[in-house]
Parts: sequence; C-alpha cells; structure tokens
Amino acid sequence: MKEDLPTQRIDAAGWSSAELLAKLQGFQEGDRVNVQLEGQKALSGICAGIDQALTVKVEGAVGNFACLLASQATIDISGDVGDGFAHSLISGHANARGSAGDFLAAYAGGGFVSVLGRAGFRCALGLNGGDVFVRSSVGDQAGCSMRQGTLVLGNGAGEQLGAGMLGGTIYVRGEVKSLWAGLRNIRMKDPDFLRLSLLLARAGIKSDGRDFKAYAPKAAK
Amino acid sequence: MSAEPNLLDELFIANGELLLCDPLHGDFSTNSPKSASPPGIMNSLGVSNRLAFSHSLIVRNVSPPETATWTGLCRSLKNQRIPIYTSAASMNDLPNDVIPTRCCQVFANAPLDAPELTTADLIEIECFDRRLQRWGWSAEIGRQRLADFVTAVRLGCGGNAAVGVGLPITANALDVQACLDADIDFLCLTGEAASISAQDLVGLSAVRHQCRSSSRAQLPIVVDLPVLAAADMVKLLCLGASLVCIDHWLTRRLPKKQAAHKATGLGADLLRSLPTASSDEEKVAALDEALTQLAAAVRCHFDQTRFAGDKCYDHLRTSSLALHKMLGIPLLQARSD
Repeated sequence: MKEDLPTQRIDAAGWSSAELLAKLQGFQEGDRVNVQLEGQKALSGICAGIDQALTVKVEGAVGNFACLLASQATIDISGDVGDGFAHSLISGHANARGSAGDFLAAYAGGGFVSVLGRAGFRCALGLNGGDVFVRSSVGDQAGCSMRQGTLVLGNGAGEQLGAGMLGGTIYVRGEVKSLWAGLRNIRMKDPDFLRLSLLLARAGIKSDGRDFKAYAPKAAK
Repeated sequence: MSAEPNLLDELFIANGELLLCDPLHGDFSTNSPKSASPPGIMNSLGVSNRLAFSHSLIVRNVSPPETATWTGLCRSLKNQRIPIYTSAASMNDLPNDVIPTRCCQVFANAPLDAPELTTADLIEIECFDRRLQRWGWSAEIGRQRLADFVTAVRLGCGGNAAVGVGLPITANALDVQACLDADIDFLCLTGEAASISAQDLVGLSAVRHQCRSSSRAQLPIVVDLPVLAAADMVKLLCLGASLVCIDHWLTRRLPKKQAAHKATGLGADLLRSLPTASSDEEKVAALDEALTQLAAAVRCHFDQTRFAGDKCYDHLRTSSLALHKMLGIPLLQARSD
C-alpha cells in the first residue's frame, strides 16, 4: 500500500473530460490524486475508461456518465453526480458524497458503487454483477432488470422495486412503496448478514444489517 | 418465382460510365486512377484516429463462415480496406496481417462489453433492442443524454475509436438531429424490409439533407439496405450514402459449408473419384477477385464525384414520376431521335 504517498493536486478548471483523463493516465499505479473541479460546469464522462489502480478524489460536482467503463480505480466525488454514474463499471470503487441522478450504476458488471445522498429513477438498471449502495432515498423501479449483483438501499424504495428483475439480491432498510409482482421477500441467513455488513462497512457505515429486508426474483433460486 | 422488383432500377446515373458495366456480370473494366480520395471519419476529440477507406463499402451482418474462408475473406477486406462489423473473438485466430478494420455495435438496453469496445476501430450505438426486436433509444440514454453518452463512450474506449449511432433509415428528424447535436463521427441507417422501398430512399435523402442543413454535410452515413449490384450501391452513394453495406452481395458469394460426403453402395467409389467443384483456395480466390472488381467499380464512381453524398442528384436521373416527385431527382429525358 502507498498510504504514505503525498496526494498530488490537479486544478482542472477549464479542462475538458478528455484533458483530465489524459492527465490521470499519466500517473503511476497506486498514486493519490486530488482533482479540483469546484466552480466549473459539471462535465460529462469524467473518469470514463480509467483503468489504473489510482485513488482519485474529485472536488466538485460532475455531469452524466462519470466513471463509465472504469476499472481498478477508487474514485471519490465530493459533490453530486449526474445520470448514468458508474454505467458499466468494471471494477474498483466509485463513490459520490452528494446525490446521484437517474440510472445509477446501470449495467455495472463489477466493482462497488456507493452514493451517500439520494439516487433517482431506475438505480442499478440491468445491474450485471456489481454491488451498489445508496444511503438515502431512491426513485421508482430501483433494481429494474437486474441480472446479478447486490443493491443495498439504506432508506426505503419507491414504486415497483425490482421491476423485471432476473437475478441478484436487493437489501432494503425502511419502507418500500411497492414491489414488482415477480419479486419475493427472502429470509436472511448468516451469510447474508455478513455480506451486507461488509458492503456497508465498505461504504463507511457500521451496521450488522439486522434491520434490512432482502428481496430476490421469484424465478431465481 | 418472380424476382423482387428493385426500386433502384428506376434510377440512372447520368454522367458515370460505371452504369454501363457491372462487374458482377463479367465485362467490367475501368481505367480509374489508383489514388482515390478516401472519405474519412475524424473523431471530434481531434485525436489522430482518422479512418481512411479506399472506397465506400462496408460489411455489417455477415457471420464468420468456416475457418479457411473466413481468413481469406478477412485478408480480402484488409487488402481492400473494407471495414467489417464482427466480434473481437472472431478475429482471435487470425494472423495479424489479415485483420481488417473492425466495427462493433452497442445495442439498446444492453450492457457495454469493454473488451469488444476497447479493441474496435468504430463503435456504433445502435438504437435497436435485440431482446424486444424493436427500434428505440436505450432507456438510460435517450435523445437528451446522447451527447454525454457519446462523449463518455469515446473517452471510455481510449478516445481513438470513431463513435456513431445506428437508426432506422426512416428515423424521424428529431432523432437525427439529436445525433448531429451529439457530435457523432458517423451515422448508420438500416432498412427494415427485405427489399428497398421508396420510404428508404426518401429517408436517406432526408437525412443527408438534414446533415447539410446542420453544417455537417460531410458526416459519413453508412447505409444498410439489401443491394446486390455495384450499380445500385453507386446509386445509394448518389442519394447521400457514404458507405454502403455489401452484406447481400457478399453472402451470395461466400462458399457454402458442404456436408460430409457419405455416399455408399453402388457407384460410391466412382462418385468419390469425381473432381470436386473447387477447393477452398479457389473459392477464396474467386471471392477476392469479385471483391476487388466491386471495389474498383465503386472507386471509379468515387473518383468522378470526389466524395459521396455531396453532389448527390447531379449524377442521377429517374424514370419514375413518383421518385421525381418525392426526391426531386430530374426525370430521364427521352431521346428525340
């Protein structure tokens, strides 16, 4: 680990997403980078396609499709993120301290996506193996068409939770407005609690997961 | 069985010598110069990813045939600089020197496949849901987020690939405008029927017109319609296409897989001793020759018009009053003598 390495600062005011990505690609594996975006228009595609084990802290809000197809990196965004955050994430950790727009972590095939604020419509759409955590409320149809992976919702869910879900598991704490007809409540066992508590710990939340309920599609085993 | 009527037969190329000689029927010869000015796809990020094609052909929906033919086909495409839509896996066993320009498709409401995308030269975001078998924008993209998605995909794939959008050829103007506003690198228009309809030609013409109106007259437009003859491909170029799919032409020429010879009984030995129709090498050589001739035919037109899709109707005449009215193509003048 390179915990003791100094963080390198980039003032990206006025830069395009492509310029920022090119700059980030010049860093070494394990480097820690702080990117200043505050006061700038929210750029789309920030950190898209980044494929190095960097730790990137972005100060400010970002636009749509940030972290698309990203892998290995740990990306922490201090502000809000737009629609399609961490779309098709491959691996690594994408974290937003603000709120996320619609289609959070759509089709993410791996890695971990966490949002400490709210998330919009159809979060975890078509989730394909990644793990997603939203601390505050989410919009309707969370977990829509999920295939694999885990969605953890810390403050309830909107209408039609898990609509069209094919696989994976949803853990919810709080009120669910309505469930999709093909979804069922499953009894949580010790491995579920362990898995859930580890995911919550990764998002910086200490909990044993005893106050969560688990859901899976009826067709799935 | 009667042949399907071909609407393109109603169109004639006014200035091109090409229409007089169809390479598919044997008597083709051209004296066109070798140095064609190729159309290019320039990534809007301004990086060096210009893709130059020696002419305006592309292969889009051809499944990889048996190994020997597939290698030969790829070699021919590489030599002719014709791109092909295919999976990265289909090229795994090919030698490096026969790998042509590869395009890949991203379908609506489906995950992005990173290895496919990052190794492709062209990426098409096709607004077609394969599961539901219908056209439509992916839920998370839509018209309003298309520009951001194109930017993100371009960056996510290293910035070197050209990113385009696939629409039905009869797409409405709002969808086309969303693509133009998204600064795409190319547009792909697909016909939906087994034969070419007037709506297809009107659609192509309208999209090219819209490109011109939006100051993107040179936007490459790939057209996927069932065309079989070089002359028809050229007519589509005159109507506004930049690259024409040769899938139907090619499928008819790809050698068919032959069932194992299992003749038994009287005369079986005699049958086995008869010479077979042709070896794989001969089939591949014939295909390569046909492809070379087709490429030369289209290039001949290309040299005359300099770039496809720009002068359009200058080179076309029609005998159809309907096409004249719908597309504004001048009517073919009857010879007075």
